[in-house]
Amino acid sequence: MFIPLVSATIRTQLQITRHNVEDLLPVIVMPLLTFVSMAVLVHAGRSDLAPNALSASLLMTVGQMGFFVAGEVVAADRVQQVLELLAASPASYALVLAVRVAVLTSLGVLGFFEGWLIAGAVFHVHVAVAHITVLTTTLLATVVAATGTALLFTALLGLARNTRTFQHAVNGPFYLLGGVLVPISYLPAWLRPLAPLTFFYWAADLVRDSLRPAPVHALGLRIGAILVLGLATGLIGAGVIGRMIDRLRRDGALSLA
Amino acid sequence: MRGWLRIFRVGLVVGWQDFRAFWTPATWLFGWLARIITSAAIWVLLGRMTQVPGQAEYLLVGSAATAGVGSFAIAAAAWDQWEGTYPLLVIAPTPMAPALMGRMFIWVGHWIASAFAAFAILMLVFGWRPDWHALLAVPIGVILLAISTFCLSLFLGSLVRLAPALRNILINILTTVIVAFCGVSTPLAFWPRWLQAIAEILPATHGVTAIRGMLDGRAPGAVGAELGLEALVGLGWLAAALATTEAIAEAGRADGSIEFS
Repeated sequence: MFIPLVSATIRTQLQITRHNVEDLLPVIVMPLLTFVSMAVLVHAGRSDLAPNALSASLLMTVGQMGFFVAGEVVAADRVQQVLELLAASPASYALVLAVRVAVLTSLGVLGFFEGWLIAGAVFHVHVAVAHITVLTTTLLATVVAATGTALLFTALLGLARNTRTFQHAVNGPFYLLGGVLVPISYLPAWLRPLAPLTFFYWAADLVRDSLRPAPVHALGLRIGAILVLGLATGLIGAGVIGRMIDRLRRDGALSLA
Repeated sequence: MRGWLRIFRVGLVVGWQDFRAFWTPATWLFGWLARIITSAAIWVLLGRMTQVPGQAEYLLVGSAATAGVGSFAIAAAAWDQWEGTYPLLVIAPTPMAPALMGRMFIWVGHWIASAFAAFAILMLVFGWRPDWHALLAVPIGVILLAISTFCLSLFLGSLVRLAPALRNILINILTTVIVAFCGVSTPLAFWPRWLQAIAEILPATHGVTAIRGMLDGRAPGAVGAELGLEALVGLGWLAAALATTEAIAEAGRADGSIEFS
């Protein structure tokens, strides 16, 4: 039951995404910001900071896929009245949703490769991957964490009325606070303690470390932090979704919601 | 001309309702501003990180002047199609352009307010204190670059009729191109000649140069020339937009594809 459900869900989500160019907006557009950050760095003679541009390219694309695309899945299911069918089916909606969100956030990983290509092809800054295992593990953990965060986000947006406001409000602060482009040591001291509460902070630092020759310290702890944050937010998200569906079912208000 | 103004005014009312559907005073202040201020702050911090003197201020001026500029307007051009009112506008005995312009123009106010707020907040946060006299002239540059960006948006908005699904992608490409190539984050001279030539006819390039000139105390004549060029760029795009808006509406009328576009 589990594997056929997951593979069918993956196939369905890929089909939905293929027919909706808006779903791919972050993958098309966010890496373009690498033009801006790389141009600033190269112009300032600081090509050595290129890993920062790449961590931003990855995490902003993953973030946008999570906040803007995956974040709308529940709201869209409600509008298109797919939620009723899913709630009536014996499969767990939270599981179906988690898989769909995971498909979308994994597409965000393309942002890293696009950023890397832009740095190399346009600016002739070839960023060598010094620790390939660290990079691969970080990318995988990032997908898990982004999926968890997006699951919570889509659950909350499913309940909200004005989704766009919420989406606009969160992404900028998360990128600033998570140090996706500029490390948090440049933030005011009072803001810094908040940074480790987002997976962006851990992932951004690890991506940059994987692109620099110096040994990477405390890898297990840092990957662990990304995974724990992802799982915690994901579980809360699944809980919220479960309660929402239960309540709508009990009240008989599913189609009216 | 009076007929045009009347339609424009009605379009503006429709635009105002669009705006209110997106934002309330509270969500604009705490949602929208949070987004554009944090984005601009990231660029200023990037400037600090390079440790090149003046880089953070350069990015602050560029990011603040263009904060939010370009957002939403192109999408507004496609909304008539979603709502089914586009065919009605095409068959109306009046020209299409003023209705479209009115509905989209509301977002110019949103851009100008965003840029002003970004200047004020970033100055406060980063302790940047330019000459006050120079600062008083900055709004002229901001308003002019917002209007010329509107003219390009109008042109792109007329094209978006042909592929409404691309509206948000176009907005994002427009805003990214402005930030990347129009002297917002790096001087124009950094880019190859051919790209500089394209940037010269894009909105914001001359407006941002004029604002930098005001703040650096350049001669009023040089600043005025840049402002004039910015206005000229805007007029050029306006002419292109007027031509394409009617041509696309006409083409749809001629081959009966209005409802399908």
